[in-house]
Parts: sequence; C-alpha cells; structure tokens
Amino acid sequence: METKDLETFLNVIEGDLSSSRINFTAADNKSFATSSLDLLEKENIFKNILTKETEKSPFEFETFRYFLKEEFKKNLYEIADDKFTDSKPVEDKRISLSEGSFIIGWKLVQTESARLTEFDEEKVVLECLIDKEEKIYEEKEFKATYFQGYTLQIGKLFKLCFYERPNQVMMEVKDNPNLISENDFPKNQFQEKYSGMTIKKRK
Amino acid sequence: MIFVSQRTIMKIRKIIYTINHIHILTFKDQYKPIIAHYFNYESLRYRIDDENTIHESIRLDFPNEGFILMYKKDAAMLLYEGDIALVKKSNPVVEIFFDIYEKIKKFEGFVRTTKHNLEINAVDLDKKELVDEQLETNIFLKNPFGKLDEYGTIYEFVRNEKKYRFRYGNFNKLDIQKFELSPLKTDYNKELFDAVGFMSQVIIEELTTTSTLSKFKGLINEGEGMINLYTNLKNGN
Repeated sequence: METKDLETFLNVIEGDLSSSRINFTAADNKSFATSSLDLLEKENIFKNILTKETEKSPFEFETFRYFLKEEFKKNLYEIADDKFTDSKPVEDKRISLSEGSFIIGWKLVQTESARLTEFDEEKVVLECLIDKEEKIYEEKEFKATYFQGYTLQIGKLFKLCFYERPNQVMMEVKDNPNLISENDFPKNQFQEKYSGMTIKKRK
Repeated sequence: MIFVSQRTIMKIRKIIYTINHIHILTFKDQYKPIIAHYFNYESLRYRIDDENTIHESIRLDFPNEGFILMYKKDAAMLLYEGDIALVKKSNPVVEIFFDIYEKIKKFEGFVRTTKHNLEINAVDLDKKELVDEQLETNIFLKNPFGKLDEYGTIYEFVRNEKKYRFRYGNFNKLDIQKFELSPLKTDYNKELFDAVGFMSQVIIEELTTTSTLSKFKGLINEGEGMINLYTNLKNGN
C-alpha cells in the first residue's frame, strides 16, 4: 500500500463521514485484500486501530492489511480445536483395519430426497430424487427394517444419507421434514391443469 | 467473452464461494432453529462467533468432506478444499449450503441478495529447475533485475457485467499460509508443503439478485477456463 493511499484513507475517516461507504483495495506483489466497509458501522473500530497503529508507525502496513483480511474473512480460517463443538455425541469414530491402522470419521458422499410410494411388511419403495437440477427421479426398493421406528404412509418424505470410509458404507434414513423441500416433489395440480377442458364422447 | 473449459491444467486446491445479501438485522435471533436440523450429519463440527452481537455468525465444518460453511448477517460462504470434480457434480454438502441459504431467504428481515463471488486458487507443481528458469526469464514479465525470488502478475477487467481478477505467479511453501491454501489440512493438499511450482488465483464477482447451484457451477467453469487460457498462452500453445 502506498503512503499516499494511507494518508488519504485517514483523511476520509477523520474528515468527511457523510459518505457511508468506502471501497478500499490494497495490492502488493502477492497478496491483496478488498473490503467494502460501512464507515458508520466501522468508524470506532477503524479509528481505534488506525490511531493505535499510526502512533507506533504510520507505515506498519502489514498489521493494517492483516486487519482488513481478518475483517473480510473473519473467523473463516481459524481452526483451533478448542473453539469447536461436535454437533452430535461423538461415538466410536475409530475402526481397526486388519493391518492395524485407524480411520476416523464417515465421509458424506451423497444425499437423496425421497418420497414413499409403496410399502408392506418386508419392503419400502421410494421415489428418489437423483439429480435436483435435471429433475431425475428413480424408484428404489429398500428393506422395511431400514425404516424401523418411522411411521410409514404413502407420500411421506425421507432423506437418505450415504456415507463411506475405507471398506465400509453406511446409509442413514432421516424423516426430518426440515431437511427436505416440498418443491423436490411437486404435486400435480390437476384442477389447475385440466380446468376448462371438456371430455368429449366418441361418436 | 466467455471462458469455457473442459479440464483445468492447473490443479484447483481451494475455492471460496460467497453470496452477499443486504444485512439481516435479526439474523442472530432466527438462524439457529433452521441450522440445528443439520446437526444430525456425521462428523459435523460447529462454532459460533461474536455470540449475542449483531455480528454473530455460525461456522459449520465438514472436515471429512473438505468443506467449511459459514453464515452471518450479510453473507453465506462456502469454502472447499479438495478435488473440484466432486463439487461440479451432485455434492451433498453443496446442496446443504444452498438449502440453508434458501431458508435464510425466507427470514422476515431478508431483503435481497446483492452479489456473489467465487475465488479459485490453483497450483501446478513443477521441477525446481523449471521454476527457477521462469523466475529469470518469463515471456510475460519484463524483468531487468535478473533472477527473482518471487513474482506475480495481476490482471483486472470487467466483462459482461462481471468483475474479474486474475493473478499468476510462482509458488512455494510460503504461499500456503499467505493464501490459506490448506485451511483444513486435507490429504489432497499435502503435496504442497514440500514443493515449488506456479499458482494462479481467479476472483469473479457478479451482481445478482439470485444465486443458484447452476450459477455457482457456471462460475467454476469460467474460472477454470481463465486459468487454462492463461496457462496455454504462457506455455506457447
């Protein structure tokens, strides 16, 4: 960042605050930060930071750039373990392979929204949405035991989640309606579609 | 000008996709009930930052899949570190990202989406001798200084109402931290840590009122096309 740019920026901060937005771009040989800042919101933070930095040295651009990067993608790159929480109780994540090595964690490889079309004591047939963009559906049959504990009725929506890790696959059936969009299985609006049409008898 | 590509010559290492929207002042009071439903996925880790402030944000890490999703009052962000081919076809975590965003759009305080942008970071590892040769003589660089330690060129332009920023330069292990190329420390990017080569970074920004999965994939294809175009030109193809 050029010295002149910093001075100009400082003048804007301390001078005309009627402008509520400022676009700031800094570039050096290999890195840059771009940030669009609402001065009215950021004024106090910026003034404190800038004042603090300029008291030390007006040319400590590294700290200034780091601040901008931090603001722009704040919290995105921090991966300190102690700040994270597992979203569900951690069960045994390690498995022992025949060679004695350990693998941690399942990898989610596919999810499918599905609608129940047929069921009996032994099997459940689902209409599965294979490709959301292309609207491709496929009918699949599953063992009824996979749906143990769930109320089965025609038209009910499920979410199938497929996980894998070396030498293992896992399918999970979820019936949480908040995970499935009803738009994935649009209902035929017969009345809308066929209203105004008449049925003609063949002569 | 539309940049279209079949396959990227340089290996894409990380992408960040951001959807910006007008600030939702009530975001912190509304997001938890909708995101909580996704907590039943295996290996999901989460973190809430700036809790109980207007800047409160939630970050969802899918470390096994190589994704970080982040939601805050003015943006939704997706970071992916891994094989780009897995993102270009049907991907469950990408679907989760857009599902959650569609639900955020139904918040009472949501006004509209303003823009989206995609950042692609690609690295091509190569032999040290070839990299050194480029640091000394390069057809795109007027270099009066002899052998360099680092170089980078930046191109910025606007086409079809999209802003493009393309950067190309040499790569060494210092760039891993500088560009945060491996935030999830995946096996996919392990090879970066002891190698040299060349890297490119593409940023595409577009004003839009809707952001969809197909637009997201379209930006990825465009970014790949730009990388290929430049790399081919540099290699004399």
